[in-house]
Amino acid sequence: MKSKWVIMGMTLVVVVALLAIACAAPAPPSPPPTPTPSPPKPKPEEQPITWGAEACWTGIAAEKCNPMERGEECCIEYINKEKGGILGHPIKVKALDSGYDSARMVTLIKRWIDEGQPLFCTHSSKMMEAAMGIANRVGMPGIVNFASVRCIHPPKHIYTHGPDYGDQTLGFLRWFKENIWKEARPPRVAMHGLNNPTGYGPKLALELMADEIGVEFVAWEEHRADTVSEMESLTRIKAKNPDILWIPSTPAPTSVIIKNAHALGMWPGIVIGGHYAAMTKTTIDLTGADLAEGIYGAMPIVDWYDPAAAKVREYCKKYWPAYWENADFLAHWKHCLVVAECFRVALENVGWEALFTGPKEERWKAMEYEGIRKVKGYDPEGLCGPIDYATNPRDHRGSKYIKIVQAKGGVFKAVSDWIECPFIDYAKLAPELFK
Amino acid sequence: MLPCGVHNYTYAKDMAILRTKTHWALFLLLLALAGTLPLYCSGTWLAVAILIGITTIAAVGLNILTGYCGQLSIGHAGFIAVGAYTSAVLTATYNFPFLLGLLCAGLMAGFIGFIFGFPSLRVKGFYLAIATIAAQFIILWVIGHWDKVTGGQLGLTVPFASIAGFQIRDDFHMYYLVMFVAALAIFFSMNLARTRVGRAFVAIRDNDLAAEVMGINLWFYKLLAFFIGCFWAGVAGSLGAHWMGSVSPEGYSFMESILYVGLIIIGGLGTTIGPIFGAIFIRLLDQLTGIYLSPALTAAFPNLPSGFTTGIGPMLFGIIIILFLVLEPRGLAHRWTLFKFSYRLWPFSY
Repeated sequence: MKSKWVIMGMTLVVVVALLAIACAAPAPPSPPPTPTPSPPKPKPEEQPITWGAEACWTGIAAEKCNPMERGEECCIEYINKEKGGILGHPIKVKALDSGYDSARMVTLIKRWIDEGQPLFCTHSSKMMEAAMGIANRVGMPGIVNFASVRCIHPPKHIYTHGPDYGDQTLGFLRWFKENIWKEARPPRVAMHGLNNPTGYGPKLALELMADEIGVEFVAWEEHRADTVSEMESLTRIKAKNPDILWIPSTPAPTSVIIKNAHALGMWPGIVIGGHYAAMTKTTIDLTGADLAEGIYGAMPIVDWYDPAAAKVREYCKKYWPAYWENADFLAHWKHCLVVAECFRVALENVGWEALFTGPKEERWKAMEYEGIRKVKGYDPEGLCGPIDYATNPRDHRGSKYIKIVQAKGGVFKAVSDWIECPFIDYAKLAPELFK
Repeated sequence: MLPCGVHNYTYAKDMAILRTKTHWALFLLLLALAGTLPLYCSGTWLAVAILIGITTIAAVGLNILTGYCGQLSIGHAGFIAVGAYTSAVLTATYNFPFLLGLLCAGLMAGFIGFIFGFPSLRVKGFYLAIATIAAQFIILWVIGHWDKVTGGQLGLTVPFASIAGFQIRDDFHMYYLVMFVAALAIFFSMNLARTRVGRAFVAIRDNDLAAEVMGINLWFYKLLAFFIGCFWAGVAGSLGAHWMGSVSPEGYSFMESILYVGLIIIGGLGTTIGPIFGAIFIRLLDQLTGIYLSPALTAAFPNLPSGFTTGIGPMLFGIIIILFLVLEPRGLAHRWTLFKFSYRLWPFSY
């Protein structure tokens, strides 16, 4: 019984197959091929510009990084709406949260390598230090906003767009010696730095370049970010009788040190100054306008109320009024302009396809050597000194200029024009540290 | 509890880790999956897998110290840093071979752990935890100020790991190295628990006075626990340093130490499989909340500030940890054990 159904089924299959073969008509002769039109070239609007963007939305650095990322978002909108994108290509970037965590940052850089992003950007030196080992190994270029010494020394594939804290320190000291210092002997410089690269970068810079600049490095003390008193350490500094007290730190501990220096009778008297991270409006507010009167700062970027920052103020007022007068908002706006310029140069030289299609290694080389390294004399709308990566391939700083500012009437006012900071070739001066 | 019908007639069978054919089949399947993961996994998830492997090695060490021996340590990141810097300095500055650097990293971290384990002879519980916190800060202070050797606050660049002339330049090969070391660590931990030393650790954890009365040398076994636990932390630090290509003191913060304690609690204290579950859970949760959930919430609720939706990720992370502590304090390992019991009894309920 069972075999009967099997035989019938097989027979049916064979019959159907034979019928199908029999009914298959011979194929008609194929017509000559007609020339097909080549696909239309995609419009620039259909070829967006992207890059791997890191943000610290959460974590201990969120308070500093959130306004930075808002500044970048506003700048991207400004470029897309008012400038028509980068040579017509819209920017479509969404920053991923690193949480200020090195382990998560490593997974982010791996993600961007996987995606073949032509470039990646970070806010802070810590996040760049977590990613740069991997990025340098594969040859992926990166741009960091606030760079520590190790990010760009020895120079590999990481760039920044302003002098680092060590450069700012030397730039100020050279300006001070040439314009303010009247005595024959070299000025004695003491430093009270934060216990991380923000403080140790300037320390190393001064140790290496003090003789060349013509100053005497007499004392170094360090402090924690949450310090509430530095009377003891300042007493040790006072014993060395310095002429200048340089505070490479952040606003809160800087204000503590200024107050303690005042309590010890050191200030007013000696010169007190700090780099960009230390000397902000917040420092003046925390210290008090009267006590902060006369302290110096080294600024790689213009003041919030500078005419060049009009667009920044416009977008900040419109979208993020809570970040009014926030220097970090301004700093990352400038960062976005610099990154956009690198892409513009790369697009002009090699085109969109070379940056976003093809092997990843070729994309990175195109971005770095036909984009970043060919940026020369770029003025980011007056927000900082001219950006130049082309003249000296070992100098990955972009802009090498700072303005010296001084606290007057509760605000920092510029007392100099753009002055150039010396280039410190750490890899040659301290090869044991920078391999 | 053995499956129904399975009996042990010899001591070897009783002590065997893989006792039935099902065990062997599942083990081989796991080996096959883990061994072929780099072939079908994207670079991002391969990096996450490597991170899970390195975390597992460190967590195994902490589990031996805290889970088996009951010595609470909240300075584990400091010992990881010791291993990382030892390996970095030996390979980068003194051109040691990588494997020798790896071994030295473990030994140095173990030795430092041995030194900081001395307070455990006098204090325990909360007070010992404070002593280990001090270890974390002391270690990082030394690393940050010993400029000539460690590069100080500026950190060091670390060369590629290299074995017998073969440089491990990509994640494909790094994955196998990390997984091999992780397997060694897990196998070591599993067997340690079954030896005289492991039983001494457990006795000290349960009641150190009774253990001493029974004749267990507290001094010896506590310091041994610190040495072994920190040895594996050093090994994990070395692998992490060579994978990332650079080290700096900021990468070994106090929050990392807290994370490791939370990790072994979620995984299951005092179990072999607990560190594995904890490492997988924590690292995957971190990825899911930070990389997928937060951007998805931002896209779903565009009118809300993205900082708000991004903050939901860490909030969820904290809530999950609290729920675990309240509802399943014995961790994921206990859940796994319950699952295995119910599977073996199925379809019966008891």
